[in-house]
Amino acid sequence: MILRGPPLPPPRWPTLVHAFAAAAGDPSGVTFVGLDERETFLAWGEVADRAARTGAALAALGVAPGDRVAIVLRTEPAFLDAFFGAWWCGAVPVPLYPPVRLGRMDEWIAATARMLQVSGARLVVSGGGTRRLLGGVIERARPPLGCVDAEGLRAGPPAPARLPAPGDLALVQFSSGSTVDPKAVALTHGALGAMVGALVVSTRPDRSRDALVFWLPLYHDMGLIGGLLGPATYPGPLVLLAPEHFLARPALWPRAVARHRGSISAAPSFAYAYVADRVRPADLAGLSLASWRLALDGAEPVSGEAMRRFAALLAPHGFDPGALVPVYGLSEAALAVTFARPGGGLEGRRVDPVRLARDGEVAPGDREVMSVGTPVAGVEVAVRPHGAGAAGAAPLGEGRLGRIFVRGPALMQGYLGDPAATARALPDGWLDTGDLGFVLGGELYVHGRAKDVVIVRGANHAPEEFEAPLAGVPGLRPGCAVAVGAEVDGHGEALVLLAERARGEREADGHGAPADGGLAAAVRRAVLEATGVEPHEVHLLAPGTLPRTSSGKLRRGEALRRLQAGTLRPPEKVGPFRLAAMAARSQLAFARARRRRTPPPGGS
Amino acid sequence: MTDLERRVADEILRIAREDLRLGTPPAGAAPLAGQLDSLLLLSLVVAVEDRFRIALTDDDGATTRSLEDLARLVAARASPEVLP
Repeated sequence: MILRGPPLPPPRWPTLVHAFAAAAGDPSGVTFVGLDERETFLAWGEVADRAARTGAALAALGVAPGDRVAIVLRTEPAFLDAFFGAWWCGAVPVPLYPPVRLGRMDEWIAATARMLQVSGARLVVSGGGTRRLLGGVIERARPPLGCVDAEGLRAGPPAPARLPAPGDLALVQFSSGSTVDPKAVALTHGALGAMVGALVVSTRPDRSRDALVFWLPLYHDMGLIGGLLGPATYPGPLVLLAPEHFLARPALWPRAVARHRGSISAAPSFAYAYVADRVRPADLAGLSLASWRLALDGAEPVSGEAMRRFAALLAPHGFDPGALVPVYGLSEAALAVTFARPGGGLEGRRVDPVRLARDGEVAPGDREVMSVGTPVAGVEVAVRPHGAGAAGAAPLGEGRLGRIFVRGPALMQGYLGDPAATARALPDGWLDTGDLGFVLGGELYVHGRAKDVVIVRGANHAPEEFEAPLAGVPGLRPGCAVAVGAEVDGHGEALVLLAERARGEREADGHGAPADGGLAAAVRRAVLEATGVEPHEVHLLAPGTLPRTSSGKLRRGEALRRLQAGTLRPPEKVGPFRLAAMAARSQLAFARARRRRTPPPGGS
Repeated sequence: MTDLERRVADEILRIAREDLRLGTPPAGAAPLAGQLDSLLLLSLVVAVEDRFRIALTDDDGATTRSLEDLARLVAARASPEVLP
């Protein structure tokens, strides 16, 4: 069966740039909230004026329509100047993540240089201390127009906007940022306009009473498209917090909602669990959160437990648990694919994970999977049989686990500069999401994935990022480890490492024996140091346990499936003694077979 | 480390323990990035900036690696009335 969203209404403007320029007359705007809760307000008209000046300066630097302009800035007014300035002069913004603070600078430089190359950026816009760190990046990637400070770009006079056509490239966003395999998702203005239109249908914003409050990073689709582009073009009030401020002081988020009578916000499950763990009741004293009508939960597997804990903490402040709404999407579809129904309840469906992994069948069990609802406007979803030939295959019926395919007006054009990966992802006009799921009661449930991606705190990582640091850990079998993402109750998805011991490395008896304890600790440290992500579980395995393809490639998804189904076992040892026993058993079996074939004496 | 730097380091450890609820606080001269998850590291940096009313730039981030580096930087830059 195919799930279909409601029809997408015709766009009010040819592109979001037209809509943004028209929003200049609106009194609403964006409020930046600092760590100390001091606020800076810019009306959309001021944002547009700054964009017109920045756009003129970019054009004077030699940026032509269609050129890619990389942006390395935090959540600050300069980000909006650079982003909308690039749009204003017909260019294509490429938001990239700023450096992690303290350490891992080499990894950031390598990843940023790689993403600049893949996106073909002609210019980098940055600012302050970050710009001084970009030297190594510029040296490697050599963007033709170099790197400029955003602050210096809005001193000159404004220029009229160079308005794009719907078919023009509008945005390049990275589905995962790393040196290993950065995928530059290319979206047209038509796709972005369709996505914002679909979000408006799903969230039904009312300009007289709604305000969006977002702390998600602006280099990520959920923060950029859902958080910034929606309100900047609809237009309506937006409150922005920096992600690092939310992480340091998670109470800033509900407090900003209360101060601004915020009504719509979104975050991955980890953030709801983080608030439940870290925010103290005293931080919320006297606040009313009754205005909060949509708290969207997506960008990683949705945890019902995280939502229930969040709702329990905030309920005394008038927060409506029905506001928590699971959603599903991916950057290749510009953002949203499905939305659950508000007020649909915080209980998921309990299924048997072993039967799901082993037989692809939905049966009652103890693993909770949340419904992510039905497609957003203009979007179709089909679950097709998993495995080779899924593309073009007829969709599965209800209750069968398969591969999720998506079709609609907001799909990416492709991966920039990678026609082979584009052909794999868009085989027949449908996007192969690489995610697995099933349909039940006309609603989509996402469970597991076929693509090699690990999602930690809403950010996609290539598994190679976590596997590479293991090469230097003594006691492991070189090249025989896989990184996978697995759902952890109440906390969303976490990193799980499966690594084979080197031959001759002492096998521990049972779990947590000292010999393995030291090796597991070394594995954790190596991965944490290199990637900043702490593995949730480390499984040390006997040599040869990990499943491989016939050509010897490790099969990550299959390894996780077997782990969850309880069938991840080492190959049986075949020594001389065992060979003799097998031969004897075989002889006996032959003898039994012969006896059965021989008719009994005197029989007919 | 000077006495002041040691007191600052102790205060940073207190923040890590009490405000951020870190089970195992980071140790002296080893790189922080090898001991803390990037989320916790980021939270610690922001909490330290807030407590000592300083701003660490991205350049500082490139040269400050351990708890001791961080304590030295804070001791050198924060104004006397906020220092322990």
